[in-house]
Amino acid sequence: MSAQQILCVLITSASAPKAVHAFTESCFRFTPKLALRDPPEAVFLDLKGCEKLYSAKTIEERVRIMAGRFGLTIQMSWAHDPALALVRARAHARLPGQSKDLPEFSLSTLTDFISPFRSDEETRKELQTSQNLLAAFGVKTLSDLACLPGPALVSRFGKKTASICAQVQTILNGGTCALAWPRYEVSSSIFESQELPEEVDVLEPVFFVLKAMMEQLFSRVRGRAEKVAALCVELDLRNKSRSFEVRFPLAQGSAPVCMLVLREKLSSEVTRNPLDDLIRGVKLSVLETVPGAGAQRDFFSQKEEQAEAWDDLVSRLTAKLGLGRVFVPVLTPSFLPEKTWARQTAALNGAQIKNWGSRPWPERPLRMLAEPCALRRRGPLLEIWDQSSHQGVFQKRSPIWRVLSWEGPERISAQWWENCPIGGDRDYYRIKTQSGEWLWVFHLNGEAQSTASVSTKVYLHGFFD
Amino acid sequence: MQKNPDPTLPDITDIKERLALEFRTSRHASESHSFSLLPPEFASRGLPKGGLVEICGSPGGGKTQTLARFMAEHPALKVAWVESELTAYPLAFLDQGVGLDRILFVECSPASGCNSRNSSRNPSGTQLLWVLHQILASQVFGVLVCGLQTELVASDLELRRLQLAAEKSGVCVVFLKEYVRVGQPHGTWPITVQLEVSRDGADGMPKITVLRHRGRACQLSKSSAF
Repeated sequence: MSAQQILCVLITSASAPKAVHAFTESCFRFTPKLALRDPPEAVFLDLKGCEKLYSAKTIEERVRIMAGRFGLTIQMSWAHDPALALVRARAHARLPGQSKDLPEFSLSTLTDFISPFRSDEETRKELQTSQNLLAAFGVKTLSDLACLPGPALVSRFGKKTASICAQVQTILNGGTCALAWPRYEVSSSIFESQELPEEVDVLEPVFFVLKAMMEQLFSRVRGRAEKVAALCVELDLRNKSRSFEVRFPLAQGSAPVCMLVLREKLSSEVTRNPLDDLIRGVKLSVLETVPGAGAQRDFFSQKEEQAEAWDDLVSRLTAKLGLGRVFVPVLTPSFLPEKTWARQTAALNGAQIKNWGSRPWPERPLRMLAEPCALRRRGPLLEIWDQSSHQGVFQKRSPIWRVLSWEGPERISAQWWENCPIGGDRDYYRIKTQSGEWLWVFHLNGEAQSTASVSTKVYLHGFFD
Repeated sequence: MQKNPDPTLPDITDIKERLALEFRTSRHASESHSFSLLPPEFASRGLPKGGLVEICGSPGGGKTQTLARFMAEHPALKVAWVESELTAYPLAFLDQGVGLDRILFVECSPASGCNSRNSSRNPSGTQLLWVLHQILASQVFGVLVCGLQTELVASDLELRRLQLAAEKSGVCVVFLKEYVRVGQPHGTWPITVQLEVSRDGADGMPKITVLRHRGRACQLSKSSAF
């Protein structure tokens, strides 16, 4: 690929322009410099400087696979100039399996040579005149044209033909023409739609179609260096359409994982609310994307793969369990122990919480109740204040503890500006029980003046499990 | 047996024994995570990389603290922490020297959205199992903790499935279990290692008793304190 840096992908099958545009959009993953010929029959990829990323063989295989994904048949050819690459690709397509050296290119390829990015009638007419003139003088191939002496051309064939000859000579001698590459604009919306071969009332044929559409969609999204944050599936029913929206907690770049989530979502929704008519077609559209350049795989570590697997897992679990059920904890500025952390749906290492060295407060229990449980203290005994309200928590735990020792207190001030169910300053104690348990309890300042008082109300907040 | 003709050379039997010991040690190292709090007899064998571990004991007995120490000893391991209703207090993990950025908490309570089609038999149990298998299949985590609601994964068949998945993905699956019978090995055979943790010592620190290791119930329980 060192000398041949332009890859021309010629579409040889009769395909819809939409598919060619989608394929072109996907090719952005290989290089930012690409062009689509007008009419859409060839895509040019400038791969200068990509020698370290892919070999010619690798990229040909990848382009071929991607074209197959969009149902395109292609012919590829390399050259140092887009015009030459196009002419070669056409020759390969016309005579498959035959060696095509430059002398075999006839003058009829001159149109492609002079204007590789655009084919219009005006240029063709101009070139036809020059071709006829050259043919009259016995010039039949491009190699014949390249052999003509430059200075004598203007007087014999005119200025226009002379400039064409000079251009051909430059390219054939290893130079490039200073042609500006037309900018390719990607479409503002990303969607794929397809009609089903026959109307169906079950989802399985729809999933079959959706799988291919999903791959096409993700190829396009990846070409834009983005990831999908939200998708919408629209089922075209006979009388109306029905939409299903899927939002991913972590943006996705993998079609198979999204397909799994989508399958689960559609199945559950349709089981809950069955379809009331036959399905005629399906439309898959991307509602929201986020920047997400694909990570290069590290040969010596699996960091990137693990990060992707983490994202996939979080998405799948969240789709099943609901938002906020799969999370990484993050610290929040609060004095109350139950409010010192929050749930965050984060990517791998995205939460950015590291170990802290010296903590500014005493050790916290590893188990904490969602809500403090009121206990009645009678001498050395602690028992549940209202057994019925905490049946779930204490279904297997002993409701009565005999306290051996109290350690504390540690006073935590209440956040008076917040509406807290248990208000007031809290005095926390770490207590050891006769049964070997370590509990974390508190009483509200004012409710009990000392730990020696009889029959007071304390709150169990956690276990040093 | 032929005697060693040259007393200056090492005996072949000695070499064989040394090689066997070396092989056993390296095999255990590749198949298990070391854990310094295990009794000395089991310290080299550690906790299996692809197996089920049960840490049981009374509530407040130090099970979670023991597990947190294990996690702190292996800072590179990513941990998935699954509970039906989360009671683990993440802030306390920092006290134990465990970074929170490598722990993914999953709460799959029966109240959470259950989309499974075959969940009518045991909704929460089926969901929990599904979650556990998904985590194992992701191959992101080194340790999977299933905390305190392990009765949802009750049958031997389900545990055996989990064991196979754990072996395949090389994940150490740890069940935290509260139980009342002290010193009784659990009857479930897929559990590879069973530890009992209690705060029996005078200092109140958790004490580990190995009830089973590598599928065999220990005749004489070995214990060690923090």
